[in-house]
Amino acid sequence: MYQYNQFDRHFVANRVKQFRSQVMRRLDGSLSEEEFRPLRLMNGLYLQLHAYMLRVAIPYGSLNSKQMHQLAYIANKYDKNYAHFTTRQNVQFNWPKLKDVPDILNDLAQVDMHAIQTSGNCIRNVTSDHFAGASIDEVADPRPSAELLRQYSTDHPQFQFLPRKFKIAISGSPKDRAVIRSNDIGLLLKKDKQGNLGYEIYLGGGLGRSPFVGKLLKGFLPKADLLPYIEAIMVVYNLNGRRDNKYKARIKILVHENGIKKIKQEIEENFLIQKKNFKQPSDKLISAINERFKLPNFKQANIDDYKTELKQNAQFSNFIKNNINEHKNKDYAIVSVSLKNIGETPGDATSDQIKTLAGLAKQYSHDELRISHEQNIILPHVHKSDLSGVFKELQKANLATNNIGLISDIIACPGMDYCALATARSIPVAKQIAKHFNELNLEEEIGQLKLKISGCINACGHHHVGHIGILGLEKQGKESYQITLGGEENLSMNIGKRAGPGFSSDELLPAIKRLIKAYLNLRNNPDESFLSSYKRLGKKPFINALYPKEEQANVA
Amino acid sequence: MLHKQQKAFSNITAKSTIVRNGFFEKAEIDSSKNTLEIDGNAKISQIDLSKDMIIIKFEKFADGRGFSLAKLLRQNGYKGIIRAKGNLLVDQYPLAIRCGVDEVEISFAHAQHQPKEQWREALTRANNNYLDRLMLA
Amino acid sequence: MARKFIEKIITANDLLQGDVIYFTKDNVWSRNHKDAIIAYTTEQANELLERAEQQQDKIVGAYLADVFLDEAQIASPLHFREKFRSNGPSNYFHGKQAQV
Repeated sequence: MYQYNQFDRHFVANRVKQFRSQVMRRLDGSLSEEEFRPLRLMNGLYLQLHAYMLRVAIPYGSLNSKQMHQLAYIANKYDKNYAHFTTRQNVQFNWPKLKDVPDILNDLAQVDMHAIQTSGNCIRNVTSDHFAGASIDEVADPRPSAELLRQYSTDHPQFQFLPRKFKIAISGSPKDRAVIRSNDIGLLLKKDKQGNLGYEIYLGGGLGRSPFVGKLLKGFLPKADLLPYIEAIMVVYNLNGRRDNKYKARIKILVHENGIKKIKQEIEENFLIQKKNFKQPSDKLISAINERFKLPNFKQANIDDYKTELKQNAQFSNFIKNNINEHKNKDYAIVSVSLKNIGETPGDATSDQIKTLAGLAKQYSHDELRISHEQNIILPHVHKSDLSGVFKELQKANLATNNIGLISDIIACPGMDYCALATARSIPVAKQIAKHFNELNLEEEIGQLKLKISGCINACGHHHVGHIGILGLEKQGKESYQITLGGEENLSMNIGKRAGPGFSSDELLPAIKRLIKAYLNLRNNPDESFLSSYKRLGKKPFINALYPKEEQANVA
Repeated sequence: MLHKQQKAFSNITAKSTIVRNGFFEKAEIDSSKNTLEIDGNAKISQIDLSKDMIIIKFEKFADGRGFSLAKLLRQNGYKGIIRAKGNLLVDQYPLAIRCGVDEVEISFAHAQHQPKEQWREALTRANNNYLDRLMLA
Repeated sequence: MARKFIEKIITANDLLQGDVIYFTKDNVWSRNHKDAIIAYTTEQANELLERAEQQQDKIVGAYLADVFLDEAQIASPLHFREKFRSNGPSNYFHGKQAQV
C-alpha cells in the first residue's frame, strides 16, 4: 500500500487551497464559466444532469480501510449516503454542492486522497489489475510502476492541456485483468531472457466512438527507461495529436492515420532526447516506493474448519465457487465482493456497506482493498480460515451476491439517469436483465458471460469488449439499444460486432432472452462458454436468434 | 521573413502587458532584439536557435503545444529568452515557467481580468512539484 | 412550408447547487418546470436566452429546450432527457421528485 509522505501531503493540501481560490474567483466573477470549467475538471468536478459530480481517484484501484471509511463519511455528510464505483477504478459522488467541494477535497486530503486529474485533457488516473499484489499468476506487482507513473504524471507541466484525455493501464500478469489494450498506453510487465523486468508496450487502444485495439509499440522496454519513454510518447502526442476535431483527438486516431510504424519512429527519435535529458529517479526514491508495496505479513492458521464449512454449507460454497480467486499464498484467497446485487444499481454502495467493507479489510485483509474496473470491490488478502467469517459479515450487509463473472455481474455506466453525455439509460436495463436471469435461476447454467452496457457512444460501460455489449442510443425521440457480439477483454482483446438494428426498451429483454436461449441450445457442452460458442459457430446463429425470421417477415 | 518578424513584434507592443517574475511590465519595443515568433505548428528542427528571443503563440488556452515546444527548445540547448504570448491563463503560468518560458505577454484586457496579485500567487506554485522531485531526489 | 415552431423554455444548472433550474418571466430562476416562461417564436426564444445568459454569476450552461403544451397551455418537456432533468434519476427517489 503506497502511503503519502510529507511531499504528497503538501502537494495535495496546496491543490485544495488552489481550488478553493478558483471557486472563489468563479463566484466573484474573475473567472468565467469557460475558464473555470477546465480548472474544475482538472479537480474531478463535472456538471451532470441533476447536479455536480465529483470523481475521486483511487490510484490503480488500491486503498486502505481508513480511506474507505472516509468515502463513507463523505457520502453521508455531503451526498445522498452512497457512492458509485466506476469502470476506471474511481469513485463518484453524484450530488455534491459547489460550495462544499473544497471541503470534500480537504476531507479526502486527510486520508491521502484527491480528485486531481480525474478529468480534463491530461493523463488520467493510472489503472491496474484489481488483483495486483495478490494474484498467483502475476510476474510482478504492477503497482510500484503505476505509482511511479502517478507521481510522474501528476501536475506534469507539459501535459495538462493535451489534445484529449489520456489513459494508461498496467498489468503485472499475462492474464491482463486491466484490459490494457483498450487504453492509450497499455503496459505489461514481463521478464526478458536474463530475467530482467521490463515492459511490453501497446499504443493507441481505446473504446468510445471509434474503438481500436492497442497496437504493439515495443516488445520489451527495460524497466529503467519507463519514464523517458512515456515522456517521448507524450511529447509526440501533445505536438501532433489532432486539435481540430475533438472526436479525432485521441492518440488512437493519430496512430490510425499515420500508422504505428511512423509514430514509433517519432517516439524513438524523441526518446533519444529524453534519455539524454531525463534524470532518473534515485534508487532511494524507487526503493521507498517499492517498500510501500511489500507483501503483508501473512499469518499461519489451520484451515480445516474452512474445508468442513465448504462441505456443509451450500450457500458458502456457492459464494466461494464464484467470488474467490487463487492467491500467491496457498492458505489465502482473493475475495471479490459483488456490487451487483440483483435489482440494484451496478457499482453503487451505501455508506453502511462501504463502512462494512472498510471494517472487513481492516480485520481480515491486511488493511487492503481494491476496486475493479468491473465495479466490484476486492478484499485481496483473506486467510482461508477467515473466509466463513467474512462471508457472514457480507451477508448481513447485503453484499454476499455470488455472481462474479456471471450474466448478472453487469458493467453499466450511469447512463442518462445521471450523465450529461448519455443518449439513453443503462441502469434500468442492467437491473432488468439481472433480475430476469436471477429469477429463472439461470445464471449458473449460463456460466461465464460478460455483459456490458454503455448509455452512449463514449463507451464508459465498455460495451465493445463485452461478450454481449449493449449500447444505448436515441432513435426518433426514444431510447434504442444496439447489441454487439463477441467482444473480448484481456490481451486477446476484440471489438464486438454490431448484430443489427437496435431494439426499443421493451424489445431489448426479449431479444437478450432469445440470444441466451440460442446459446444454451447451441453449446457443445455446459462448459463451453458463450464466447467460446460464438467463436466456434460465428455470429450467424446468434443473429438469427436476435432477429427471428417470423419477425423479419412481420416487419416487412 | 525579417519583415514579418518585426511586424509581429511591433504588433504585440501595441496593447499588451508582460508578466516577468510575477510582476507586470509594459511591453516595450526593443528593436535591437533579434526575435522569432512561432506557433503551435512549429517544427523544432526548423527553428533558428540563434535568436535572442523566441515568442511562442498560445492561440487558445486549451492548446498545450506551446508547453512542449518550450521544453524542446530548452532540451535542444536554446539559451535565449522564451516568451509565451496570447491566451495563457494565470493558472497555467507556473506550468509555462516549468517548461522553460521566461515571460508571458497578455492583452491589457486579460491583465485587468486576471490582475497581478493572481500571477504573483501562481508563481509560488512553480516550485515543489512531483516531476522535479522525481528527477532530483 | 416552414415547420411549425416548437415552443421552448430556458433551462440551466444552478452555479452553487448544480441542480436544474428554469428561467421565469420575472428574470429569476425556478426549480420547477411549470414556472418556466415559454417562448412561442424564434425571436422570443433568442431574446430570452440572451437575457438568461447575462446571469453568469448564478447559472451554468443555459440552453433552449423544446416543450409541448397541453390544453391548459401547461408546458411539459418534449425530450426524455429533459423529462429526467425535470424529475430526477429513475434508479433512486432522488433529485426533484424527492423535493416536491
